[in-house]
Amino acid sequence: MSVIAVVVVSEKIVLAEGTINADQTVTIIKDETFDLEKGDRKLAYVVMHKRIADRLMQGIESVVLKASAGGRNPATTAVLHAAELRGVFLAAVPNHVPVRQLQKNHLSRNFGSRKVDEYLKDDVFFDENFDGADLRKGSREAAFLLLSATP
Amino acid sequence: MDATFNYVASLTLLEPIGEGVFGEVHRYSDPVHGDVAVKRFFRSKFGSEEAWVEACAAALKEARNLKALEHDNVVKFHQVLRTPDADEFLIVMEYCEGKSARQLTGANVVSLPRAKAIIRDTAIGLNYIHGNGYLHRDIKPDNILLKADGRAKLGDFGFVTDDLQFGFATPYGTAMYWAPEVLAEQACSELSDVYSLGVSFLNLVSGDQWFLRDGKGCLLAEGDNGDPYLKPKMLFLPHVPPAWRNTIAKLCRRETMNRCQSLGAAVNSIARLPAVEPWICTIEEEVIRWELVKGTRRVRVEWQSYLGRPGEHWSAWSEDMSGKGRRTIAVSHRGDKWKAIYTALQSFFASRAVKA
Repeated sequence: MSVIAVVVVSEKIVLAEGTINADQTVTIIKDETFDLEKGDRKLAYVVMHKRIADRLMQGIESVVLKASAGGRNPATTAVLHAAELRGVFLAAVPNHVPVRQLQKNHLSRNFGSRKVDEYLKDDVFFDENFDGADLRKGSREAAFLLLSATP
Repeated sequence: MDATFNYVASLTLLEPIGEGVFGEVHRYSDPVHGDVAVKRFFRSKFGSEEAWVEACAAALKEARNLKALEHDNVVKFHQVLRTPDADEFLIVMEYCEGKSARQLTGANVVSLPRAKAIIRDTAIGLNYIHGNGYLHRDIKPDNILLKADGRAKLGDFGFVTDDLQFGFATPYGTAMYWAPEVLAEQACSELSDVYSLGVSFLNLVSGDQWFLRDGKGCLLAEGDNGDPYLKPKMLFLPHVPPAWRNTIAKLCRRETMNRCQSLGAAVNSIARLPAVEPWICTIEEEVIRWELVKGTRRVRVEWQSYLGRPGEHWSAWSEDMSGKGRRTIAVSHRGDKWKAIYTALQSFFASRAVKA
């Protein structure tokens, strides 16, 4: 059974599926992006819900989701759209799959000694901690969630 | 003790819908499900008892496949019935009021947004099938069924299989929609279903008149064995935007390594297609017409004697909703050859594209 880590932005959902190894490294099974359909946003949400529900149907132990960032960030349209799409994602997760939401500042405080963004630029870090399927640079943030979600 | 009971099914025959490879399809009324589609297999149509027994086994397998693959974009299976004398075997399924995508391609009235929605639904259903370890093997507009609300559902599971060896299965279906590797090696895979989806998409954005025509820029060629196949270089209707052409072409790449590598990727590339103006394109033998309602006026484009016939020309104009107040927008230049006319039409539609 594998874990799926998810980062949602206004126009797409990035998923990194992996298994957590005994040495706390991660084997990446699949790295994919679900783009939101262009045009009618309401219809696009319905389609995205269906795609995510299909994707998460089988063999997923749990989901780790990058949580909404509250606080000082202005509520731009992009931020609000990302929050809406996050809601669509959460509604699509099957009932039996637990979801853990992690905020970026929580990750920075509780994983390692560096900020998250510093880890994301570090090729050596990713080579040392991830194996398996190729990981796109744009999926690193999702993959990092897998690592920081290890018990 | 024989535990089989011959219960009476209250199905009322309404009308024939069509014929499949192994049987007929009729619309019936069911007291619980309402209108249903029933695939009927008759013992009398088979040459021997052995062939009939095999057909019943195949039909039962189709029913089991349908049942195993319950999804919003897969036609729903209700039940299997047989007549008391065992002369007829029936698969009772969901009825799709909108018939099939073939009715759309055959009508030769093309709407790109509708084509996209149909192929998107089909791709989602097919992705689900693949995710459950099955191949469809017979993707074509005839097997893309439409509900009254426009949803598309995959149907005709006579050829669906999970009987895969090393990811391949033996091929069935209509050769025009077959991937080149299927024609050559006679083995289907997920990528061959991707190809068939791509050709179906091309068919939907072209209509049968444009898709099946002979002559200049035709889409199909005849293989050595007489079966038609899709040529690598595709001439789309001129209003199909570049991003759409590229996406469809990637689904239909002859070489598997250059093709969209999975249904998941196909679904995503379809999702990324840019929004388009909702032109309604009607393709007739001598003329292609486009129509777009913009506010209180209607924009019309006509391409007469298209693709190199004598007198070929095109024009675009707007008019009010009653057809009066005509204002010319563009016309072709006298003496232009068909390629220049085609390019000019592409530029015309591109200039009116939806801005991202």
